[in-house]
Amino acid sequence: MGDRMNRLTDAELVLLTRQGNTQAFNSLVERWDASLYRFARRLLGDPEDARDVSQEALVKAYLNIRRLRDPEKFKAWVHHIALNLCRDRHRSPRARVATRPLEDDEPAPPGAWPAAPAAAPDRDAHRAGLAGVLGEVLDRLPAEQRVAILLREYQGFTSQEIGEITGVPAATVRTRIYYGLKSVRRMLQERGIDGAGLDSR
Amino acid sequence: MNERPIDAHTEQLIAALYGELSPEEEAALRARMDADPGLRAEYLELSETRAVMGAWDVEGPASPFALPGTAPAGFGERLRRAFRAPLLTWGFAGATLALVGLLIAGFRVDRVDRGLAFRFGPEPAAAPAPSLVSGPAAPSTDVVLPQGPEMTPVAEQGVPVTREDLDRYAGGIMQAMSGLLDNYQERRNAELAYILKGFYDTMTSEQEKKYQELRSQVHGVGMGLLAEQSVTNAALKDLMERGAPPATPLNVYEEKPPLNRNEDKQ
Repeated sequence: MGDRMNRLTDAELVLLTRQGNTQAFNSLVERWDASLYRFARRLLGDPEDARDVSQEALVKAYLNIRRLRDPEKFKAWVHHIALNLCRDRHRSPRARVATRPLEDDEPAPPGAWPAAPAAAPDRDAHRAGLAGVLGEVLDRLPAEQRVAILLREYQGFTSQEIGEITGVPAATVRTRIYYGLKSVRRMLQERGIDGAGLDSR
Repeated sequence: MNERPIDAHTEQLIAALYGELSPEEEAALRARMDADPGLRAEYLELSETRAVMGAWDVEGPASPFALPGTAPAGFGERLRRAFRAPLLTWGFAGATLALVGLLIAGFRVDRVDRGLAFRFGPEPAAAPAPSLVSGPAAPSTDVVLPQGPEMTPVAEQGVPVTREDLDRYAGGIMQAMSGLLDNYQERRNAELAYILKGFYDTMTSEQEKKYQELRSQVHGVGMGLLAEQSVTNAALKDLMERGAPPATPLNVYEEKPPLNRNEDKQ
């Protein structure tokens, strides 16, 4: 049963789910749960919040599966739900203390970033590891650039799909990715990390 | 966000970075990069940044998620569900286990002269010849029950009960328990049907009450209309008998003189 379900496309599984087949939806869950969790984890930072968001997104998708106009776009749709849930969480007072809001559309001026202590970048990069630095750097990007880069770089969506998720044209998505990548590069260089991931100083 | 839109070439750089260009577009971009070292350098920078970003790995969720009630339950969950089973199910399971345990332990029922004897262990061999040496009699461990009307003999008089008899007995118990379960199910269905019928009756009664209220209101309005009609008829009749009053000219009104503001001031 499970193997047969795994061979079906998202659209076929969506249609089966609409007919009341919960096993079909469980196959969709199995297919996209980890992806949603990672997306939420990279956006929110907290694993518990990410778990809540990914599960809530899947439950909402199940409850509203009949409202999905194009079943082939289930992946983009459920990520869109997750993105909205992440935005909702950032509106809560607890989340606003933790990270920068996702609704903040104004790019943070370079001077507004907290200045690293003298000689700290090298030490931090080596201590926390490249992954930690990347997480911190991406967290400092303007929200829309961060979302575009996460969806493109780590979730594997095309610019067109990201446009559908975030509600902007594909050209705008590429613009956001371009400026986001430039900012990431600059911030990595400020922390002593060059293109090869090594300390350049 | 108010970043400036990028030009078409840079947009193509981003598209090429993620493999979103057609082969023709890619060839054209390569030709442009050959002609423009600045464009090539930017492409390399973006590629390097992407390569570094690949280092940010995030572990997946610790436990898989599934819709409630559809995932294959683990042992713990199955145990919890079992504890939520009806008491009758537990009783049935307990009785079956006890019966199996008794059979394994060698439980048997023998007919004795004063009733039925429940014994454990293997069937005793033929009674030994009476000893000439008399000794103290060993205390009997058998439980002897008086034969009452409810004790149905399962074997002929004087013949020990055999395994087949016990199997038949166990089968009877199983059937009885199964019947009890069926009855339980039927009772639940009946209760549900009773509740639904009560709900239906309440709904019907409410509907009937509202219908009657509405009917009464309509009736009241109708009676009012009839009364009005009756009064009007009486007035018309009276009018016809006494004749019409003199007509009042509708278009005649008394024209007032215009206000003289000068007079007011004076």
